[in-house]
Amino acid sequence: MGWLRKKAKQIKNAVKKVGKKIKKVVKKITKSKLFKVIATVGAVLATGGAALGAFGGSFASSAFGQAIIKGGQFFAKFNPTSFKPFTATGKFLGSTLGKATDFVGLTDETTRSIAGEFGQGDMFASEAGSLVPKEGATISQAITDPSKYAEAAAKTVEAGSKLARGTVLGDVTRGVITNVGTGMAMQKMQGDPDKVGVATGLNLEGDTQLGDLAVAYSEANVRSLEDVYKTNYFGTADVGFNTNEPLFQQETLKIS
Amino acid sequence: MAKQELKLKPVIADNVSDATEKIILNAIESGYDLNDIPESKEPPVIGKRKITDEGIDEVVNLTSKGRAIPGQSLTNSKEQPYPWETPPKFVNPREALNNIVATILNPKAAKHIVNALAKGTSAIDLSLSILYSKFANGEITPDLMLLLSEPVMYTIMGIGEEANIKYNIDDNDIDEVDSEDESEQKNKIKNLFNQIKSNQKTIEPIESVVPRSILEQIKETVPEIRKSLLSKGEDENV
Repeated sequence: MGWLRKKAKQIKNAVKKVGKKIKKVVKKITKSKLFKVIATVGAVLATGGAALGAFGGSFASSAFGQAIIKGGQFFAKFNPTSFKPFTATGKFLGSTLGKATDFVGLTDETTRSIAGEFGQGDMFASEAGSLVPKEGATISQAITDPSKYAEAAAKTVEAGSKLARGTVLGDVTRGVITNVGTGMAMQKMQGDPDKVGVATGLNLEGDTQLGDLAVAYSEANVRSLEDVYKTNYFGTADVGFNTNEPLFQQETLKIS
Repeated sequence: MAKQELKLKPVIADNVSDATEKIILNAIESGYDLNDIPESKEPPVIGKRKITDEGIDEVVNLTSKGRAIPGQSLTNSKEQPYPWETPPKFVNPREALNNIVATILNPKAAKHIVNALAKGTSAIDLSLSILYSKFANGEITPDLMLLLSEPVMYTIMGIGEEANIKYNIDDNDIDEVDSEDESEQKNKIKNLFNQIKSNQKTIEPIESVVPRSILEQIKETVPEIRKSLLSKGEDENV
């Protein structure tokens, strides 16, 4: 399958290219550290933020992570010595990878929780009856713990507002919400799709924070939300990256 | 301190490498020091591929079984199509990627991936085999297979980094030396050598330090010493 090998070479070259560009900017960095940063940031982006639980440090403190740290069973087969790399890996998960997620701006060192505008509940204050995260709760907490939801007061977006349907900003914003959570929670957050001009209350947040997001999308030549969902985009502005999907909740990536 | 104030601009790109590059460069511009990320104190597990006789025998066995005759798949009954001949389960790359990543990050799968990386299997081979099996099972289209190869490979690389493994990216390239790095190193050594050469000064013996008699003795002896040991000497016995 020569065409697959060709693809493999392309990917490898892309990784090397990233390394070279960063090396030009940061001279004093070891090759292994540089590669570690690239691979980790890439993995966080590729998993659409799904691996935040694992990369953010909670993996190390989870039952599964602890079992690995204590037992080191993973490496028993090919590591005949008493060396237990996962003991280091556990620390690594708690620190290095955590730092990598701080680095992409999603977590912060003190709390190691999802930070920034995407972590703020009031961003999702919505029309009457919609479910929004309670005050002080992050979206990820709200999604994993239904008790963190609260009914939102009515908030409407005036016709012609920057957040109205059909605008890039409005569509992108609603795109974030569409991907947050699944099932009932998602439907509740989304509100009634037939009400033209009634958005999910993001006007509370002001246009400035979301403006950056819209700029990022326009720079990437992303025209509409439909394109966002049909095409796989990667980055901190990607809607998939900033939302919580069922993937988060599987055993490996349990988020407390 | 700089990290606390770190404010990155949102980044989006249509491939992982570009997005990674933009994010890292943006972080550096914002004052983040990459060296703040600590490396594991433990030495990494070297995932060097070893070619064994059994491995070679297995490859020979597989290749000697022959291949499908061109058009053989078309002779299959329409009522019993192969999985990849049926409509795929996923047509949306985002949904497909989520499904595949969920599979990869499953503890059992992660364990096998870590084992494979530590035994020298390359990240690209692993990602392509995962995607190929998804295609063969009729879950994704060949187009999706190619679109997802990069993010899946990054996920596997992330697992490898987590597990502190020095793994192959493609083939057996763990010890691969970059041609640019090599030439850069050569130039450095060359420059260093030239620098040493230019700084070298002829050392003149100072008469006040070394007595004249010793200097004369050296002048007489040096030509003798410079004679090659293999040169024809004036042997008395000849």
